[in-house]
Amino acid sequence: MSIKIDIPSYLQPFTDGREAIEVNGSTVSECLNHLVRQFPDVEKVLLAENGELLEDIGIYVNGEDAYPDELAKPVRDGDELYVLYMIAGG
Amino acid sequence: MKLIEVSHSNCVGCTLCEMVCSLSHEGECSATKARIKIFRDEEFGSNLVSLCIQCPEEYCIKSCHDGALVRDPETGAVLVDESLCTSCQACVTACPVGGISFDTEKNVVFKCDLCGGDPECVKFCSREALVLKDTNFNSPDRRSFVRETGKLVRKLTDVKYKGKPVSEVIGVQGG
Amino acid sequence: MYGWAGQRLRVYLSEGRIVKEPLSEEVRLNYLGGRGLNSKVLFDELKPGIDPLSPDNIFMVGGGPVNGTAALASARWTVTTKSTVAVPGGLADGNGGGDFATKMKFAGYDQIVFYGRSPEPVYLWIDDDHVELRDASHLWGKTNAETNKLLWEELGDREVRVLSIGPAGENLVRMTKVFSNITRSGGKGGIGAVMGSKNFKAIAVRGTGSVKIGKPSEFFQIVKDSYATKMTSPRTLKSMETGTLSTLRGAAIVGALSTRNAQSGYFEGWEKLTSEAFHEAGYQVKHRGCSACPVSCSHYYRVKEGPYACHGESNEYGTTYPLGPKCGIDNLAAILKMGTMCDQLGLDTHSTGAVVCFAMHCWQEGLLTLKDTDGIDLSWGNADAVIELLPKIANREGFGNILAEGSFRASAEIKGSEVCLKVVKGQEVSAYYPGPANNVAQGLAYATATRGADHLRGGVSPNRKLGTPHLEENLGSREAVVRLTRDPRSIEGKGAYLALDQNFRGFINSLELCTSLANGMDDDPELNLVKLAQLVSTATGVEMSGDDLMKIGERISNLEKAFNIREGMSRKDDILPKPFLVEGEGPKGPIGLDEGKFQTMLDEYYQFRGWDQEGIPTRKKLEELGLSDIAEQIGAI
Repeated sequence: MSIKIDIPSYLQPFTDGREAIEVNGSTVSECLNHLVRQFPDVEKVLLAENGELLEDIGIYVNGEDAYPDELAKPVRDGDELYVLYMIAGG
Repeated sequence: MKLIEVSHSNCVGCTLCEMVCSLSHEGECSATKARIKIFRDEEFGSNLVSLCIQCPEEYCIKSCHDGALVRDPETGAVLVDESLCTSCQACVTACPVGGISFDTEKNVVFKCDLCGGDPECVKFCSREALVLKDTNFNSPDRRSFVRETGKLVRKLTDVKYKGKPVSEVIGVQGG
Repeated sequence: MYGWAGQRLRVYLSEGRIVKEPLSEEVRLNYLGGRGLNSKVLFDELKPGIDPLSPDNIFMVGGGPVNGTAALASARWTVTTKSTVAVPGGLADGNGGGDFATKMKFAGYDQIVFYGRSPEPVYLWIDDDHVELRDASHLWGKTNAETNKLLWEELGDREVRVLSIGPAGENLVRMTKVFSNITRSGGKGGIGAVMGSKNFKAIAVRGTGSVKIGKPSEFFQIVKDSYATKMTSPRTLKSMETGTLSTLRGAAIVGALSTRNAQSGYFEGWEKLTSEAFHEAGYQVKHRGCSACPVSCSHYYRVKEGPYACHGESNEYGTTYPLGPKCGIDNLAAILKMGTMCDQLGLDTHSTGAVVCFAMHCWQEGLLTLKDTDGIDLSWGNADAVIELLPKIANREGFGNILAEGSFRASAEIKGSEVCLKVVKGQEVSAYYPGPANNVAQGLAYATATRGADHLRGGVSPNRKLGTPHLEENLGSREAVVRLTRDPRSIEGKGAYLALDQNFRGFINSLELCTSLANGMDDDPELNLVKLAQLVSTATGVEMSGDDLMKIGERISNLEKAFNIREGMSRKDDILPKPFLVEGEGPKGPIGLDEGKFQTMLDEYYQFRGWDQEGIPTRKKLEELGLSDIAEQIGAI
């Protein structure tokens, strides 16, 4: 068992077109780092230089919004994560 | 004693300080009734913060014949005793930085009292244009702060009474 | 009176007469302020079918009960009028910041309504109680910056705040807006042209009064709590650095960055235009804040030298995308130059950019040649061409005169150009390309916004932090909400979501709080609504619940819809340009939405709103909102 990350269509170009990636980790941060190790290109559209999440990113764990402190949220085997971009403003 | 250190170059002109000052002192929101005043330059984005600097020269105290202005020994702020104020406004004229004003409704003068040592304006300044400092009355630190801040705050007269643009007086980035 | 000033001005420009009158309790409690007050006057007083550039049109500026207070970001003003582009007719409004609304409130006015047409150019001078119309012939033809400076000199006070139009508004260009604090502005539909058609150049205001607060200690506590919440949010801290320009990267990545007249949602040069690029180039001089806003997301910029040297306030998302990707331009300095020119000439960057890129699209299709364009090469990416074109549009010279009419009317002059038109209700589509992340939601939002294709009236977003309340209870469950925001092509639930968001923004706009701060009082939308209600209640001394506020937003949305219906709009106008109604694959994923699905989604939206199949509010709904008296006028069933 491991954790599944769902990738929205506009980020799939960074994950070789795949829409579900299996990762391991006990926190959201570890899962994302594992994702980045598998697909280095996705890092620049997920994480800022200092390792924090880009501000337009939303992370959901099992359908629940993980904001704030998304990266520190604990996850378990069988959990499902997904990534959303949230745009606002004019 | 306490001092509010002012950085004009950090001020972004949001005037939230004016709003919380008047709200906490008077129960209403008004730039006119605030004890801190912000002058915004609409053309170049610079801003001038006008505030009593509780100066050692004590122009206001010296100008008052009614003993209505007294230094608070703990905070170091110069306070107005409204019961003694006779509305002569000598202090308003005496202050070179416009740090004391006259309330036409209450008929007494008003000024920054440092909110008893825990100033509200500082708490609502998100850009660190207002920073609370702890110092001694006679320390060289304090005198030099007053001198430096005073120089800039004195430029207020050019802005307030001579109609010069803030940007001309303190520079586009606020000096 | 607490909160409100309790007073409005009516200015009859034809006669030069000014009337002060109290703002009734009924209007205050049912319409709140700003946009609400304005839309109410527009519906009640503007006869259907009038020419928006005639003296029959009404122009107004409104503020709300918490303008001029410590309520965070209580800085906005709204201007409303009948649109100069809406087809067959509809409302136009604009919302701006700075501190004009604050001064207007301190001077003692909640709203100012202008009628008729002045025989000579005038401006309105408000000096607290004293209000008069003064000669503006020396201001006519001047840019917004020049107008401000001349007024400061004339009135002897640089603390005077000005709301003005530029030369483009004077020349009745249909892509103009009004500006406060020189460059702060909002609005499409040629609002500047309406002021221009009235020979009305500016409002200058000095306000030294105060706003009385109903329950000062409680109000102050709410402000303290919201400051603490807001200033510890990572999103706030980022906004403080980037302002609205941060949207650009997100839009680029999700394929919502409108490119080359919205032919695509992805622009290859986007990385040159981000807020990071802006900072790295050293164009930002310092931050700037609107009234009572700790986020102070605006900034003062300067391009020091070169052909694009300029300075001004704020490079927003709305500056960059319409003059950049939408025109295929990736030169940041050139975009700042064009943005500055628009601000000074009085042009709206969203609709001007949209009209220019419409022309560029025509050029792409071979529908325009150098002969038609006065020798200007309108290839994608030609920034110098746009720089040459902007003053021609503002002054209605040559080819500029055709474009000054807006793309819908210009299209009639350019054979075959209908294929390039991207308008909803006559208004150019703005901010986002309805792309994979938001195509359905954004599309429905554009199609139903009461002021024509608009991204700020309401939306459907995975961003919970935008604060839309009552989603779970209306959509079934948290899961349902999350699911619908994830699937770009799903239609179920989006109509309901959009209606709730439109109602929410309806009252936020009327409160004249900045919408980027709408989520600011709490991360949980339900708690956010409760706190907003407490803010309004303690400020005004009138107890209002969150549901009262949502109802006010719903009332305003219905009244604006009714106005548009009375002007001749119907279901067929709640639609998108044809290219968006074809499903396909874009560079970032699925794009477009099948028209059949769109209509199903529209049905759901109407049903949720309590409107009939034609999109007309039913009598039952009107009764619920206290609007029964308008039923006859719109043919309500």
